[in-house]
Amino acid sequence: MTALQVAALLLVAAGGTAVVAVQDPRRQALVAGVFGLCVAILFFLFQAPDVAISQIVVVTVGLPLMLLLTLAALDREEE
Amino acid sequence: MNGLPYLVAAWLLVVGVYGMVTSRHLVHLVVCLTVAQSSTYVLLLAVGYRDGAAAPVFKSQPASTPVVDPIVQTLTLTDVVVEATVAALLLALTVQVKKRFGTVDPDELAAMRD
Amino acid sequence: MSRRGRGLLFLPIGGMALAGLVAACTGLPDAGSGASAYGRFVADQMVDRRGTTDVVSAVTFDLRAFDTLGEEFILFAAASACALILRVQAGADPDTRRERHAPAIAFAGMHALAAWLVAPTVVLAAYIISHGHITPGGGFQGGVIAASASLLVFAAGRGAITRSVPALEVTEALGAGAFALLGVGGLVFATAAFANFLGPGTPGDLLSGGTIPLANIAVGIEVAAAFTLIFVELFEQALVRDAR
Repeated sequence: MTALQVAALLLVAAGGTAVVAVQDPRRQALVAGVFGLCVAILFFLFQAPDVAISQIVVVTVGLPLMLLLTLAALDREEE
Repeated sequence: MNGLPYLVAAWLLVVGVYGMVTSRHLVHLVVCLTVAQSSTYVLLLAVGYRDGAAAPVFKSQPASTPVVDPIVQTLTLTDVVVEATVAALLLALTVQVKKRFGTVDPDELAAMRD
Repeated sequence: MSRRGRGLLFLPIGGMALAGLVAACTGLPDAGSGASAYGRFVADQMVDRRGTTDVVSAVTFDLRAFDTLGEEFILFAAASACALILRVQAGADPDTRRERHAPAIAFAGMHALAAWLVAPTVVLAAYIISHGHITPGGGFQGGVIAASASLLVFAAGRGAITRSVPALEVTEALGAGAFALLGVGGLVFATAAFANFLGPGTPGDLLSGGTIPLANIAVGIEVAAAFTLIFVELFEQALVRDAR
């Protein structure tokens, strides 16, 4: 367990807590993207490049996009 | 320090479930589910990790270098993509709920059954 | 039960669950103690037996291809269900005129940048899919990158992508079917389902690894179509307005 891995693990734990603590869904989309990047860094440090590429693409492109589109659709229903 | 990944995985799972239980908005609930799913990835990769080993790609290293476990990486990699699709399905259900009931607050939805 | 009551009830239960998980994890080997014997065997043998230099790819599409079939069909089912749920609402009343709601922020710089980025993204996706058995990457990763290329097309102002849903569904089905056919090919041409029935080739070449590059391409097509379908359905929900 190198120091870098320990730091990445603690960062992931803090990031997960932050994602849950943010209540506004719009802000949470951004925090979730950053949390996903922290997890991807953790995957790189655990010598898993395939998984890290997968995580980066899905969580920074796919997930915030779907969240923001859903929020826009929910706002549209509001009208 | 050797058990730290397992602690982080357990913490993420409990924090994710806590977020789901006390959520005020269905989209917030879906993102907390994502956090809980990330805990399984951390656990899987920690089980397969080997101190001082390299990534399981032999393009630029001889085939006899010690590498980390490739089996758990397979499980995690397909799981990451599938997680996003399941989250998309849950978000589609959220839009449907809003159309039918007019609210996305889980507490108000529970009250509607009465 | 109120939200606060739920939260307070969860805290002791969550604490017990956390303690139980931590106690269970002390029984696991140390993180860093090493791969299982299965993992060590696979890492040693896969390069010679399958001719791929990326062992994770060989495991995903050859050794554990049956698990990947299951995961791929979860993806297929979830994308189809998403389309089904969101489509029922869109076609509810066929008499309403549907006008396209222009995005609030649309300027020429964004259109130009997005249009310029489409081709490099598609090339990157094709590279990662086709080299999945040599370097890190593969069908799943490259498929999502290709889906983000379709997102760039929408950001470039070409909203007509929302009319391509039937083509997307056919593409997705073709990708999933091709992967299943590779499994059947293993049954027909070799001993078991998903057996690698083409020769291994030299490790490091583009044409090596037998059926693994083919499986990568099939999965890449299917994942790209599934994610694009999800994006298009969500776009229609968010940005297309019914005019009465």
